[in-house]
Amino acid sequence: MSQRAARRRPYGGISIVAVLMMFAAGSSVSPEAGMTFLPQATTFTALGGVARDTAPLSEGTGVVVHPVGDRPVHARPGGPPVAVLPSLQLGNPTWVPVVQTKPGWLKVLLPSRPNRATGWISGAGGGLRVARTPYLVRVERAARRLTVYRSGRAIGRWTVGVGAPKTPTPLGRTFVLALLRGQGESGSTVMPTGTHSATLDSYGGGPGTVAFHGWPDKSVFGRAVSHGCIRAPDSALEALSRVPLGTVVIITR
Amino acid sequence: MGLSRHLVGAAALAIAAASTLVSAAASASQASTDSPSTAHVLSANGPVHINPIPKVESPQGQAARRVALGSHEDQLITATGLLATADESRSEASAAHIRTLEKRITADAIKSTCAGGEGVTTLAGARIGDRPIEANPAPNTTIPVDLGKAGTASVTLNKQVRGADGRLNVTGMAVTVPVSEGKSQTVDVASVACGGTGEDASSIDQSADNGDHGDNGAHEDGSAVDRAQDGDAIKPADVSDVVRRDKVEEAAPAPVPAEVDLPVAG
Repeated sequence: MSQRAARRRPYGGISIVAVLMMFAAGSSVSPEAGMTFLPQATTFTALGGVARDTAPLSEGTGVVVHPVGDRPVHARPGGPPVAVLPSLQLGNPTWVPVVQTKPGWLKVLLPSRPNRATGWISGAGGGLRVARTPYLVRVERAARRLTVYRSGRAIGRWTVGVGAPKTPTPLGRTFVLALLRGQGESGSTVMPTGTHSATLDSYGGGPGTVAFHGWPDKSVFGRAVSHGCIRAPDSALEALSRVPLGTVVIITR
Repeated sequence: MGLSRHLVGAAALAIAAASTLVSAAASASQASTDSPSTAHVLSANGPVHINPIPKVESPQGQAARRVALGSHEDQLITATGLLATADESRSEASAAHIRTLEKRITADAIKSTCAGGEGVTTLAGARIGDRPIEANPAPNTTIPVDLGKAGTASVTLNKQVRGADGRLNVTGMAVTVPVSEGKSQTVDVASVACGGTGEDASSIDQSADNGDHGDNGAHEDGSAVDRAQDGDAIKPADVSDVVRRDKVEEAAPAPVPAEVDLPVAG
């Protein structure tokens, strides 16, 4: 044990949070010039200059990544940054799926518009937490079916409500973005995804985020009636609430 | 609250014997191929740095037990009853009366144990903000903490990371506060490690920090680290390489519901 370390008071008399704020303020001096003015990659933003997911039906790598601090997002490896992926959003740590790698770089799905937006983040220099999720979520629109897989095996299958013909649930690969308690029209758990309604720019004051949530009237399950969200029974939401953030969701016809 | 009582009692002992290191029961040994068990109670990296304290490591290849006691107080964290023990197969670290981030995070006691390749964290009277925390959180349970203009801290409870050689690192509570681009302040409480052969020189730790490894060095940016193939030098890992080689070992944490209102597409 180090007595010297135990007695150390490097910022005695100053609030530690104030000290951390002081360091945070210094973050505007970024090694990547202009990053301060870049849009954040969140469910509330639309990003320009980002590539679309080229494998929207692929399960990906099963790896999810969490930036410990704000992380620059690039349209291509080594290119200029086009956005910043924040460490936290919607009160949850940001975890995004890794769908491709190149030496020193990770291609991830982003939670912003346009749908199926992707970006590259540097894999070097630290500041990333990587983990593996054994889960995969599939939504089949025509069959009105939600299936949760763990390690390749279906662990639950439910009949759900999907988007109405004029407000369809968007197709392709997205991911579980957050877990919110007691929200939504049913007061149920809400799990926003990284995709958005393609026909509604906003809904209810929000950015049109597509989410899994419950519904008080069970007759909606099995029908195409929503504004794009997936209305699911309580048992499905209970299973989904154990799925790690960043887990891939594949929505097919 | 048996654990709490136990540790509060240990606290008094620790204060009386702060900074002592007791090498106990160095009994006859049998050779062991496992890496030594290690334990330390507090460490921090970033603007505020705390070397791992108190820190113990079982003597490799010997059936012996080492115990270290201590207490700590500074502007970042206060804790008493710091107790770290390790023998050839088991390590344990615990603390009492923990207060950090200006009491936004408090606990009567935190204890982590690593034995037989399995890890357990037990909390007593723990609160994050206004929220009470269950006694035995699932591995890698992550909870955000709002710091106002300073941003949002991330608290991982029962953080468990298994290295490529099978070695398990368990940290009872790991706090990360982003402070600048790619940098962070970290605080780890009750860190233990056990198991593993130590034979895989490319052993990789994908965790957000590496306080669990004690002497492996400070990592102020919360980086993953990679033990270099050619010696003791530690360099930041290229995470893309970890993914490409399918060496990601950490299990993604179960989500924790947030009280946030987001109108969704209905």
